[in-house]
This record gives sequence, structure tokens and C-alpha cells, in this order.
Amino acid sequence: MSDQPKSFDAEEHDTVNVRRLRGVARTVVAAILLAAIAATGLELYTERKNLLEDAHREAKTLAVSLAEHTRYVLEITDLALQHLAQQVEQDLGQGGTGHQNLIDAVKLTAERIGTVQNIIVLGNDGRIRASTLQGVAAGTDFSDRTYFRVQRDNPNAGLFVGTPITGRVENIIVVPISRRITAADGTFGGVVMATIGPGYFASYYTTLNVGSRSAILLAHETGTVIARAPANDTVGLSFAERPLFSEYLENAPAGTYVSPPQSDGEIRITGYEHIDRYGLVVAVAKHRGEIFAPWYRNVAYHTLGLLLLTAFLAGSMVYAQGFFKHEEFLLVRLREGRRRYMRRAMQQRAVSLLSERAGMSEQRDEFLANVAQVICKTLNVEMCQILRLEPGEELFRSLAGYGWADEVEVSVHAASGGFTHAGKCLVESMPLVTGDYATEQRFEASTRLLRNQARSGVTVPLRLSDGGQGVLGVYSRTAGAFQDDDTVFLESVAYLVTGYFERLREYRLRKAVLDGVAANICVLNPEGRILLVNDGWQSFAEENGLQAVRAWNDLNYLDVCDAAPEPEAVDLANAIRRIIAGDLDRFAQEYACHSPGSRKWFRAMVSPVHLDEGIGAIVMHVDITELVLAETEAEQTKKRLETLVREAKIGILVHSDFKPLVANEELATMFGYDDAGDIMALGDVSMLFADDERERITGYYNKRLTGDFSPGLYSVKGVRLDGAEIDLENRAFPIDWGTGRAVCAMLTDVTEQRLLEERMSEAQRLESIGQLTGGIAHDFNNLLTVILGNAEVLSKRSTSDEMSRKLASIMLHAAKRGADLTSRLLAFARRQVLDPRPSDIATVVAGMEDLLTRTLGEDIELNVDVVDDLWPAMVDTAQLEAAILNLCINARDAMPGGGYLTVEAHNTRLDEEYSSRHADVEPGEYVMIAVTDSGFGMDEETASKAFEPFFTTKEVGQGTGLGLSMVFGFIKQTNGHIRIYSEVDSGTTIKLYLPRAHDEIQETDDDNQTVHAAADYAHILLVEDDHLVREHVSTQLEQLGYTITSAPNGPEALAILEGGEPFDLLFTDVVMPGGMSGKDLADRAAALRPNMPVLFTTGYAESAIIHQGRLDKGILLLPKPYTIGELAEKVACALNGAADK
Amino acid sequence: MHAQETTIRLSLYGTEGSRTTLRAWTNITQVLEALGMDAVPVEFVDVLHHPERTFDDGVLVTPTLIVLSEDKRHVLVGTVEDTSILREILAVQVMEQ
Repeated sequence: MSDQPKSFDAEEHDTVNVRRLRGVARTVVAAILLAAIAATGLELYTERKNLLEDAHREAKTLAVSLAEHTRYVLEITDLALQHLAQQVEQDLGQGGTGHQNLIDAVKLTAERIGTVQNIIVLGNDGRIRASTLQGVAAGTDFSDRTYFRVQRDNPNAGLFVGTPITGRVENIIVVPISRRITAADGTFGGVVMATIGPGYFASYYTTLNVGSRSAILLAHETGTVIARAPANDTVGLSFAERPLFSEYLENAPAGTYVSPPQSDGEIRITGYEHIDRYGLVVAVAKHRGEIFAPWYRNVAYHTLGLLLLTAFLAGSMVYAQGFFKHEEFLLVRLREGRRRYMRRAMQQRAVSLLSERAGMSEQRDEFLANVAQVICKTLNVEMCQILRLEPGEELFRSLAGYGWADEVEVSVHAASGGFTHAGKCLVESMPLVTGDYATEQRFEASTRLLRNQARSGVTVPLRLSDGGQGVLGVYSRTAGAFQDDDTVFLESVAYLVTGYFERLREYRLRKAVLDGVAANICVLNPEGRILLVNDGWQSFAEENGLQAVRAWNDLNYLDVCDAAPEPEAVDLANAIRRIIAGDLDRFAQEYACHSPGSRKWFRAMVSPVHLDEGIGAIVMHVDITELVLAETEAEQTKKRLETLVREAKIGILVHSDFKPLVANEELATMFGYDDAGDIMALGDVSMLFADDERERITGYYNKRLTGDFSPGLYSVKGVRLDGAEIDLENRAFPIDWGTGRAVCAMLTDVTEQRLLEERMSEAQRLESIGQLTGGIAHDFNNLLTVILGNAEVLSKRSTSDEMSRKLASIMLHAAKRGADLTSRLLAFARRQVLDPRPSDIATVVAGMEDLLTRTLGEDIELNVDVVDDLWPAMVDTAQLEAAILNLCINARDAMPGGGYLTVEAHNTRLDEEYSSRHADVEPGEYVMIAVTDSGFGMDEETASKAFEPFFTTKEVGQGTGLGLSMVFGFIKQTNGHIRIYSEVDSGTTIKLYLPRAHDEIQETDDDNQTVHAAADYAHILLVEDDHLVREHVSTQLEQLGYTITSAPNGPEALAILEGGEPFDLLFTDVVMPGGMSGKDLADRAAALRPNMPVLFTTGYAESAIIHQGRLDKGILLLPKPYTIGELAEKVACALNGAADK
Repeated sequence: MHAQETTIRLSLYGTEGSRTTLRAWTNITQVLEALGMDAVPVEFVDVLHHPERTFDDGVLVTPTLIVLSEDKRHVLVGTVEDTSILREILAVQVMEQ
């Protein structure tokens, strides 16, 4: 038998074969039987036919033979009788005397013819002449005998065989055979007769043994029986009515026929031969029974044989039937076994399939639906349902179903009590089989089962690992559809389902853990093929389009790594191989994985995992982008901080209990050390501070660490390595340092800053003073303009009154001093109007030598030292001369006992470093003028105040205190620089730094400056906001012969201009209220009167037309205050300038 | 317990080393000990070594316990966590004997 189970079709085929074999066997047996019967019948029929034909032939042949025999006998007898008759006739011819001879002849004839009984010679009278008869009386008359009469009456009768007659002598029946004796004359001479006993023929016939029930008949053609064997007692009887004589003999002299039943009721086959010569008929009647006796035996034998065959076949059939029945039984058993085998195999296959799917499926509903379907297909039933009962609930909830007609209602809940199949199963906690719901007594089939025409069903309980319960129910529309194996199968499936729930729960928990890990994880088998990935891996792959979601199982990760261009991937692959080979415990590396859209870093970690198939590997890719970025940021921050610390222009010192932890280069530089390492080498950094500061900063340190208040910013004295003290500003704060605390001190060397601050403070103070003095000077200038003008007028008008003229002169002088004072103040405030131009300083200095010599007097020796290639400087030479003169006067005053004064000039460059150390100094090329005296000098404090206005060391009345202030303001306004170096009793040097001019020096043409006469017809538009000044100037101009139209502000002046009135000059103040300055007005006026000249006036240098102390190009300005002469000159100049145009 | 030793047969079908089979074995032996039937041997049939017998006995999953007692056959599929069923089966067998 094959190991493979046969299919149900094959089993049916086997059964059909058995049945067919049974039919074939029956048919064969019947066929054999019928064939045997047919053959036997045919044989018997043939035999019978042959026997019949043989009987006919034998009867006929025998009849012919017997007829021949009869003829022979009769011919022999006839010959004997003829011989005898001839003897008799001869005797008669001799007269009848030879009686004895006749007797002898009779006897001899009788002896010759052994067949005859007696021979009788009758005379023509019928009386015996001689005979072989014993005891017969001579002369006995036989003339009444038929044969005598025939012979007598019929000379041609020949041999006449008569019918049997009873002998008169012997009283026996004999057959007379007679022949006529013809006398010599032809007359009737008598009869010779021989008698033959019928027994002769009968005996002869008997010897032929034709059968005891057959017969041979010799009869007269008339039907009289001559002899018959057997039953010779019929001799003499007439059978004339029998068919032979009545029917057949008439039609044919010979033949055969079937004689109808005779008296004995038997049918015989009769053959006959008519012996026409003697009028006899020989018939042989063969008894059919005897004919067919062998046939009958054959029939009997065949019948017996058939019966035996039939019996044998019947027995065989019975045996075969039994065999077949047993075979069929075995086949049924086999089929049942096979079906059971198949069913069990299918169940095993189903369990195997479901077990496999249970291990693969993550979709519970899909798996359970599959379970329901597989169960139905396996058991060949219609419906299946998986129900779940939550703890505390009374209704089942359907988890899956299959085959229900009302699929929509699959989720309908079922009662959980013991009233339903499922409920009862759950209550008893055992499988529950119902063969037929119609007869079920233990519970009632639910309406749903009945509605779905369920007839039988099995339910098995589900014991779920999470504490829930359930029922697996399978139902069939056929009663008794379930077998014992089915229950085991369903229990097995139920066990699988419960196991599935348990595994699913564990799987989900494990997956949750696995997926919860912030890493991309995969598990590789020993070949490197991916067995499992977590969500992180999956998501990363999907986001980066690496692989299809479900293609992981077909992917060899080692191949992927080997194919990757990055060297890290190859390293990873090699590490995985070594781990799988057991050569490496674990592996980790960090690598970058950048894409156009993102920059990421990962840490790949590989560790071994022991699988059934060998050692695999767990590969984890942890996204460390944030960490890397953080580390990078931290590193960068650290580097930045290190750079900051290193490059910071502030000393940074971190120390713990004054043990140095961090020190930067600036700190080292600050304290005069070579580098920060020297600081770090110090055991106690408190030594960096002055002795008298240590107690204080130690106190601060302790308080800072304990959280008590200590100043975050304080000044402290430091001590450089060379012992010099420096001013420090310390910003200190506590920081965590490792496991302890430390203090970070950020130290700034403010020594220079302090100086700068002082200087800046000084500058700011000077600036403030300048602004103040400038403002005052401006207002003074307006007032002085009026006073000065009016004093001039008054002076001129009081020519007759000496007192009035003197008073006017004093007032005029005072006004001029006031104007000089304000001019100095403006100069100090850097608000005087300058006209800086490229100037040859050497020429200026050389030009002042005489003046200075006269000014200094004889006790002071003047030395002028000017280099040959002195650069030109951008400076207002007039102001420069005033400044040099001022310095020389101060020097003279510092050398009341005489001395030396040196004026030197040379080129110099102030670099960045110098610039950084001195406020308001631009690095660049300068022409330096130094004025050095050998006077008593100044101490530091005095020197620091030397440039302050109104500060003077001179006695009251000998100095205004504005000399150096004016120089200071002038130099600063010239964008230059001034430094003072002085020591008490050693003299003073004041250095003026004038910016180098790169333009060519322009020659001044003072000689061409001529004062033009005023034009009588000139019409001047005067614009001045100060009504006093406006009235005064208007008066003065009118006195000068001009026609004046005045306006208090720009808009009104503009309105006048727009009125169309002609003007020859616009004379306007610069700074005016009303939103329109003099410059604005001039611009608007230029649009209306392009050729009209403009003369500005102002008492304040910084204005719309003066920038940084310099008058804009093309601007004509008359500074306040001015004398009438200056006014006349400037107006005339303006008008002439216009005329020149 | 002589009758028990001769008439009750317990065959546990499982796989050697299996966690569930071990659980089933433990539960079965505990039940037998609790019933004083610890003399009743429990045959362990390793399905990996006897697959044909496993199939012939209709065992589809492991562990499966088959309790044979004369003409009765009980099949318990699973780890026999619910020992009441086995207790009931064995108790009935004891009573009948």
C-alpha cells in the first residue's frame, strides 16, 4: 500500500470495483453455467439427433439386412423345395413309385435346410405324400390350407410364403413355405412345403440384440405377423391397422418412420423393407427409449455434470459472495479508515496550517476568521463561530464567524448562561457535542442556530490567557455530522487559538517594548537575512524609500551593507560576520547618514543572539543626531568658550579655594606671566592680588560659596609678576565644577581704562563746558553785535563831547574785549569758524619767529627747529598762529627768569596703538609742532586741568584762563591732537598734532582783497530773528546807504521775495526759528533769484552752513559780532561778488 | 491502587524540552499526587520520535494527554491548566474500578 492516503474518490472507486467484481463474478458464473447448459444441450441435442438419425439408419439398415436375410432363407428354402419338387415331379413322372425315395429326399432336404422345421410333400390332393413330421398319418389332408390352394390355384405362384398357421400335427405355429409341384404334363402335381417355425426368425432376431424393448417384425405384407422378437406371441396376429401397413408400406417399399406410441405407450423408430418377391415385410422397430438410452445417460451425466458445475459455481459464488462481502466489508472498513485517516490528516494539516498562521498573523480578527473558515473546510461543515465572554458580562461577543446565512448578524451577542450550546459548554468547561438539536434535552438550541438550520454541533471552551473565556462552536446542517476525532480536532484548534491569544498578547507587549525603543532594530539570522524589524526600522526605511514594507524577510542585510558605498557599512558588515562567527562579542560605531533633506547620525550597535539555527545578530541603529548635534554644539560651545576664554580681553580665573582650575592668556598677560600655564602652576592664586586685598577677596570667596551676599563686581588691586600694581575689576560668581563648587573670577585690567575714563571724563567735562560757553557766546555775540555797533555809532556821533566819546570808546573797547572773549570761548568750545586749508607749517612758524622773539623778550632764547620736508597740514593758519603765540606767551609766563623756548616741527605718524590709548585721536600722519619751555613746569594735577577754560595758575588779572583752552579747542576742531608733557621745575612741552594735508597748498591773495564801495542803489533783504540785532543792522545798513527790507524769519522773507520786489542781496541770519534756517531760505531764494548774492551772519559756528567748524564752499559769512566796518566790507564784498559774476 | 496501576494509562504527547509540555507534565503529576495516584505512570510520548503513533492516536497538537481506561478514552488538549477535568476523569475511573 502506498504511504499516500487514497482520496475519497479512490475509495469509492475501490468499492465500486468490488461491487462490479461481484456482478462480474455472478455474470461469469451464470455465463459459465449457461454455456455449460447450452453446450450440454447442444451436445445432447446433437447426440439425440444423431441417435435418432442413427436409429433411423440402423432400423432401415437392419430392416434391409433382415429382409435380405429373409430372402436368403426363403431362397435357400425355395431352392431346396424346387429340388424337392423336381424330385417329386420326377417321381411323379415315374409314377409315384419312389415313395421311399421321396421320403429320403424329404429328409435330405430337411437336413439341407436347417432352418426349416419340417418338409412336407403334398399330393395334388392335398394329402401328405412324404414329410418329416413325426406321427403324422399318411394321407392327412392339407388341401384346406391356403398355401395348397394358392399353389394349386396359381401355377405361377412360385414360392409362396403363407401366414403362420398352427400345425395340425405338432400343433405349433409354423410358417408354411410352399412351392407347386408341376406334373410332367403341367398339371398340378402337388405342393412341397417347408415349415419354418416363427421362433427361427424370432431367435435370429433376438440374437441381433436390438434391445429388449425394440422389436423386429417379419410380417406378411397384409399385416399378419410371421415372427416378432421379442413378444413372439403376436405371431399370427394382424398388424394391418398399424401405420406400417396402413400408411407407410403403401407409399414406400422401404423406409423409416417414427411410430406413434404403441400399446405400451412407447414410441419407436421403425425401419422397414418390403420383400415384394415373397410378400413379406421386415420391420425393425427400435424403442426410442433404448435408442436414447445412452443419450438419456448422457443427459443424466450432463445434467449431473451441470448440476455439479452449478453446484460448484453456486458454491463458488456463495464463497465468492462471502469473499466479496468480506472484501466489501474490508473495503468499507478500509474506506472508513481511509476517511478517518484523511480526515485526521486534514485535521492535522489544518492544525499545522493554523499553527503556522498563528505564528505569523498579527491581525487577530483576520486570523480568527481564517480559523473559522479552515475548521469548516476541514470538517466539511457549514458554520463556525468564535465567541468571547468578557469577565462580568452575560453576553458573548462574536470574534469571528464563517458560513452563517446571516453574516450581518455575526456580531450579535449570544447568551452565556447554560441555556445555549455555547453557554452550556462554558459552564461545564468541556467540549459539548450535539448530534441533533431537535432531540437535544440538555439545552435549547438558539434561535440563531435554528434559523441557520443547524442540526448538529460541537462547542469547545476557550480559556484565554488574559482571564477571558470563549467558545469555539462548529455547526452542521446535517444531524450527527461530528465524530470523536472532530472534538479532539476542535479542542486542538481551541488550544491553538488560546495559544495564539497568549502569543499575540506577548507579541504585542514585546513589540511595544521593541517599538518603544528609540532605535531602529533588526534581527539577523546566521546568514545575515533579516528576521525581524521594529517599527523604527520600518518607519526609517519607508521614509527613506529603502525597501518595500514586506520585503524584509527576503533581504540579506550583509549584502545591503556590502553594496553600500560608505566604508562604515562595510565595517558594520564585517563586524556582523565576526559576531555571527563568534569572533567578536559586540560592536558599535557611529556614522553619518545624510540625505538632501536631512542630516542624521546614528550609532550602530551589534550584539549576538542565539537562534535555533545558530548565532544571529541584533543590529540596532540609534539615532544620535540630537546627541551628535548636542555634542557638536557642546564641542563648538566648548571651543567657543575656550576661544572666548583664550581670546577674551578679560582675565578669566576659575579657582577652588584659590587653587587654579582655569586661567586664560589674557589673565597671564594681565599679570605679566608668559602664558596661562604659569598661572595654572601657581599653588595659590591669591598671590595675584595685593596683600591688603587678600583678606577681603577670601571673605568674598567664602561667602560666595556659602550663598551669602558678596559683591558680584568689585575693584581690586592686582600685583603683576614684576611687582607693579594694577587696577582690576573683578566679576566673580560661583559655578559648579565637577562634584564641587568653584568661583569664576573675570578680571579686567582697568588701569588704562581708569586713565581713559579720567580723560574721557575730562573730555566730557570740557565738552560740556564748551557747549555751555558756546551757547553763551552765541547769545553774547548777538548782544555784542548791537553793543559794538551802537558803541561805534555813539563814538562817531560824540566827537564833540569828549566825555561821551570817551565813554563810547570805553564801551566800544569793552565790547571788543567781550567779542574777543566770546571768540576764545567759541574757540575752546570748538565752535569758532575756521578756514582750514593745506598750509605750509614751516612757513607759518618761520613767519612767526620775529613776532615770537619780540613777544618772548630778551631773557628767553627762542629756538626754531623745523625739518626740511615738513608735510603741509590742514589748518587755519591764522588760528594756528594765534595758538602758537598763545603757547609761547604761556611759556614766557612760565619762565619769568628767562630760559629756553623751542618751537620744533616735524612729521610723525600716530599708530593704532597710540590711537587706542588716547581718546579722539585718529591714527594717521600728522605734522607735529612742539613748544617746549624750560619753565617751572606743572605737576600732574595742574597739567590735567591746563586745558580747562578759566583755569590759570597766573595771578588774577594776568590771565583769562582761556589761552590753552582756546588752543585745545582749535586743535580739536582742526581734527588734530594736543598733548602736554610737564614736570615741575623741568619745563613743559606742548605738542600740537595737525593732520597732514594731501592737497596742494593754495596761495592766499590777501592783497587783492579790496573794500568796494557800497552801491547806492543796492536793495538788501535783511532777515534776522533777533529784533534788536535786526533793527541795529537795518539802521547800520541804511546808514551805509543801502535800501533795507527786513523780515523776522525765513517764511516772511520768502514771501517778500515771492512778491517780486527786486533785491540785490539777501543778508540773513543762519539760525532762526520758524522751521526755516538761513540756509533753507537762501536755497529757496536761489530758486527765485538765481543771481542774487547771499551773505550769512551768525554768532554760532555750528550751523547749517558750517560743518565741523568749516565754512561750506562758496558761502559768504559775516560772524557776529562785527563792527560796522566789517559789515560794510562784507556787504560790499557780497555785492561786488555778485557784480563780478 | 492495584487496579489503577493496571487499568489506567496516561500518555502525554509532547516534545522534550517544550515549555508547554513541561507545564502539562507538572499539572498532571500534581493531580496524580493530589489523588494519591502517584503510582500511576505517565507515559511520555515524544511526538518527534513517534510521529506515526501520534497520528494514529489522533493527536494534533502538543501537549495532549490521553487517558485510557479499559474501554474509555479521554483526550485532554493543552497544558491541563484546568486540572478539575483530569481530576474528574481520574476520580470516575477510580470509582468504577
